[in-house]
Amino acid sequence: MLKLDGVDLTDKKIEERTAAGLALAFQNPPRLHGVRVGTLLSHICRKSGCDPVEVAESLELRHLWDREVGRLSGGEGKRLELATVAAMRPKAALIDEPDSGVDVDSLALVGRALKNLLETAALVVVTHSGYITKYVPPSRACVILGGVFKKCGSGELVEEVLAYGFTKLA
Amino acid sequence: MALLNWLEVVRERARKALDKPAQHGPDLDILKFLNGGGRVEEESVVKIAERAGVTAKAPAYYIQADDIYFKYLSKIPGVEVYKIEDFVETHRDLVKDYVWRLVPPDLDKYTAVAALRGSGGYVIRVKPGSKPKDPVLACLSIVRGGLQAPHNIVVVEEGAEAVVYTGCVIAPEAVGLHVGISEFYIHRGGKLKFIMVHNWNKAAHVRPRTGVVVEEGGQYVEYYANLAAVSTLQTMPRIWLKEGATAYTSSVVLARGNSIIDIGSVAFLEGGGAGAELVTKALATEEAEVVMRAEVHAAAPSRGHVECSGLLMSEKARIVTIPQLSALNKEAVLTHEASIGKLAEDEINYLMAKGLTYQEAVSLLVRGFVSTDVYKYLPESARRYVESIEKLIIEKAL
Repeated sequence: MLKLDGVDLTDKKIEERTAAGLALAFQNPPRLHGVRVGTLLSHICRKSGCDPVEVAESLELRHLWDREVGRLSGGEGKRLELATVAAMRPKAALIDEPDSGVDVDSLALVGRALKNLLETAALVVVTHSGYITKYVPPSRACVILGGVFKKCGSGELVEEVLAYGFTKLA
Repeated sequence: MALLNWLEVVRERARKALDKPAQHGPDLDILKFLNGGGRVEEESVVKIAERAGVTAKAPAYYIQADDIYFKYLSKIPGVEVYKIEDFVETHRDLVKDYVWRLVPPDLDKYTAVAALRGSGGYVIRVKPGSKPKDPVLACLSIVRGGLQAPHNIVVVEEGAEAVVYTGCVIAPEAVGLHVGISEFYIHRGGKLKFIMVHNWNKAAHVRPRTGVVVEEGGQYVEYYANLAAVSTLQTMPRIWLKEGATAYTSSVVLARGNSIIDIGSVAFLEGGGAGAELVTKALATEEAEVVMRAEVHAAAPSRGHVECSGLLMSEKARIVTIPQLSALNKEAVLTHEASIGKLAEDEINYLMAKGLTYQEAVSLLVRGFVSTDVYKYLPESARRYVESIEKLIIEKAL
């Protein structure tokens, strides 16, 4: 079940979830051939009222403004994905594996962006490595194995997973 | 005497090719188009030229309607603009160098009829080292209908640079055949940025024939867009590149209605270090049929890349891509990519997950499809012009 502000969004269409204030950061966004970074952020900001340049600068994407989305490197793509979520000004966001396939510098930037986002939105972050928790310590953590919630607890559960692995905890 | 001999040779070769069909595209009976008739009012020519973004207020321009109305001028130092008949009359020594050298008069029946019955067309000559900031604007329009076969020549002399915009349009009710012959000569170190926009109607037939030669270290950049429905359109410009010369061509074809379009270009890499990138993008709507061709032939250590992308926007539209590479030198590096498809559902859904409506998502993806790297090669004002053309394509495509 997916509920936001008491409203059940489980069976809602994607545009209805977005309109309700829910955002999603994709692990592997599509390539969007020919669409440029600046154009994408500008379109999203036109809806939410944000400043696309400010958003781009916050994730060090300003110099990539005219670059095609599909031609970004792994780290740049991850930063853009976070930028699209920040640009939406959501109430809540699901962030899918922000720490996979990124270098340490990009990870720090992504971490900082998530921390900023946390000031105005609730975040659910999916991670396999836990690296991102160095920058965004969780208030609550759950272990999912085989698509099923195996264990939930405080943020300290992450440290246990990192120490003993997923399978031993499950 | 040499001039008369050369033009007589041209006419003789043309006469022999009057029944020769083109290598590609539907065959036409050109006799049907030989009686345009009627008068042309200046007011209607001005109006139609404005539709193509061309006005007599520009510092350098050429405006032609059918084969009877001509207006042209250049106030730009180092840039000369002529009607071809005036050029032939006043520059007899240059005719054999520049007239019918890159496009053979006996290529097919269309070049033949242009050589025998053509009238008008511009000659733009940019003097050595001249780098005018303002573009030269040209409009070739069909107002009454019938055959229009202008012969256009651009000569960019050594170290010179020029930007030329050409708009080709037709009155909504006219039935016409446009056979534009274009020959572009870019001398050593020269640069030509050529932007051409076609805006025809569903009764128009279009058979442009183009040849471009780029001498040592020169550069040719072309942006071509077709914005409206056309009955049939077939063209295959040929570009010869000498040592260190480069060419980038970008064609965006919007095929609407029942248009039958066969479009392509050929690059001959003849000099060491030459490079060519030929990009063609087609958006086929309704029941349009598009064939995209692109050929690169390398006879020297050189690089060539071909890209043909097709976007099918209806169930009944058809697109075929035919890229062809041939290397006659082992140091040549040639590549091609081709794709045809509809808009990707996952991309639309992704953009909707970012808050865009379905229409906004489709519009953004179409905009992405039509955008090319031509921006990298153009001055700011030309970039803005191309941007406005892209917006028109998107509006019309959706």
